[in-house]
Amino acid sequence: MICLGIESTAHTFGAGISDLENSRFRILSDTKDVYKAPEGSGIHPREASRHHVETCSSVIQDALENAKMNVKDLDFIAYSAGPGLGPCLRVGAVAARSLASYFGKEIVPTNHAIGHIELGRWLGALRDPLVLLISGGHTVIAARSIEGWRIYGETLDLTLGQLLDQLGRHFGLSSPAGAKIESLASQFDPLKERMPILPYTIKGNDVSYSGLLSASKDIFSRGESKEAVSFAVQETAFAVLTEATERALAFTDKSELLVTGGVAANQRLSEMLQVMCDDRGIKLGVIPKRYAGDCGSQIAAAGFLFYEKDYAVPIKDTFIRQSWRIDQVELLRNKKRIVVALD
Amino acid sequence: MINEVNDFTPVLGAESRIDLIDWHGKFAIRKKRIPKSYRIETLDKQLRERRTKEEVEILHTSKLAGVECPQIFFADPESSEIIMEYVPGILLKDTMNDKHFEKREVLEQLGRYASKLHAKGIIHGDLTTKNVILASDRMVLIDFGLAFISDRIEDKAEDLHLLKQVLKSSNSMRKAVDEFEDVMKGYEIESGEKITNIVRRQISKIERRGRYAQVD
Repeated sequence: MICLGIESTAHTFGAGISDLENSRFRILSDTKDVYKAPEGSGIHPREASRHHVETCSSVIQDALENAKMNVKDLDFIAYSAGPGLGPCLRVGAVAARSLASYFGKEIVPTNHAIGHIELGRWLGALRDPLVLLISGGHTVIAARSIEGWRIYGETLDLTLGQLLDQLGRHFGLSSPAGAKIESLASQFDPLKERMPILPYTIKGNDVSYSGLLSASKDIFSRGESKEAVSFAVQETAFAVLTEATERALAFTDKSELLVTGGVAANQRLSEMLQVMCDDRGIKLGVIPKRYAGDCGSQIAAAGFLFYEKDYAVPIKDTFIRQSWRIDQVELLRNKKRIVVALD
Repeated sequence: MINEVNDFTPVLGAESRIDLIDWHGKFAIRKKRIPKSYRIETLDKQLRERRTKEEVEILHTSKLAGVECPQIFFADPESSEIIMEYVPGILLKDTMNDKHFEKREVLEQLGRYASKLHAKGIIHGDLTTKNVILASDRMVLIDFGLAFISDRIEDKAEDLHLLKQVLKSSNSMRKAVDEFEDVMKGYEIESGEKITNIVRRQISKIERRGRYAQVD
């Protein structure tokens, strides 16, 4: 079965064609174009959606060409219906609707976050992992139950991606800033200099980053170097998250951990999680860097799951949903749901 | 007693190792916070020392507040160790899927405990079903490892919100809502309607604040 996945929740417009045959998942193509915010500022939804409108047809075209396919060869089209930025989501939805109605293909609205998880699960060859989803939009610890995904822990305020992006913006960097913060942090030597102490906030399996962000801006304005602040923020924020994840692992008794989402590309975080998993005898799967960020393949991967669960809808019932938590997605088999269009 | 001890297996918790030891001829629990090699050393040592100290102080205050919790025998922040009373029994978590076990009373009692703690300004910080031991004659609240002192409504609500989430994650939504209602009933018995309503309102605020929650 062949699916075209269209991603457009935030800065990325992506298209991916994947094949699922006899429980074997293959990525046939994956193309994207990422909107770059000006230095020192975040993503402006209107500007990002303009970027998507301008690039969407060529990105989809390239995805088809790279997979050596024609739209007619597709079995269905999946798009990210949410959660995300409204103007951006609409571009992907319009592209998917146009293709589906013109070529008479089935269309499947999917949840973007579940895309990160499904793609990670296929690529990491994990069966029933605890999932740590970390990106600009999510910082969630979840696991699958019969009804759907259950959240065991999450951020109470900022996501890990937001923390890094907002600190980056404070330094005058453009978003996403995770990679630059990581390279700044690597220039700090904790053996030569003292690491500044920042608030370490964990509440059960939940984490909180807003206090950490204000404190780090504060020590920066009082003269700590960018390198020292970046290092301290990474060490503290990642340790908090590793601890919360370890608690959720102990609670759920899972033997596998999947780390997925844009921030999964961070080396220091993977390293911490690897140490923790080794200590507990847990199998760790980190999504490959190339697929960590938003991409069409994740929507194709989610597409197969949503298609199997009867989420294909007539064009008039397709929707976008800016707020759509993964624990609100029902995944009971053969259950026809009524999809309420909110926009 | 011997049988009970045979039932005990050392627990490698998320942050500490729990062992059953012989303490001057008596069974006791030793909770040792293990160094976490994923954390940078200075941060790790500071956290373990601080948490050990706080846990001891809070256990003591909780007992005075009328909440059943383990008696402390000995504590050493330097090695991040606490030696405390061994409470034989089963975990509330292990009874949650048992249809024949009537949970209402237990959940109500848990609500009363939470209320008594909050009245003394103690936030348990990890109010989950795995931190409640059902002993033969009493219900004991354990693991104050993440507890802290606060009088903020926000923190009290968050304490209960965590419990609600735990109930949801091990249950169907509808059942979880009923079970949480039992907890809140117990809370109201101790704290009264006025305070309980304030806390309830704050809990729904927290829920609406959750990422991508539907705003209605």
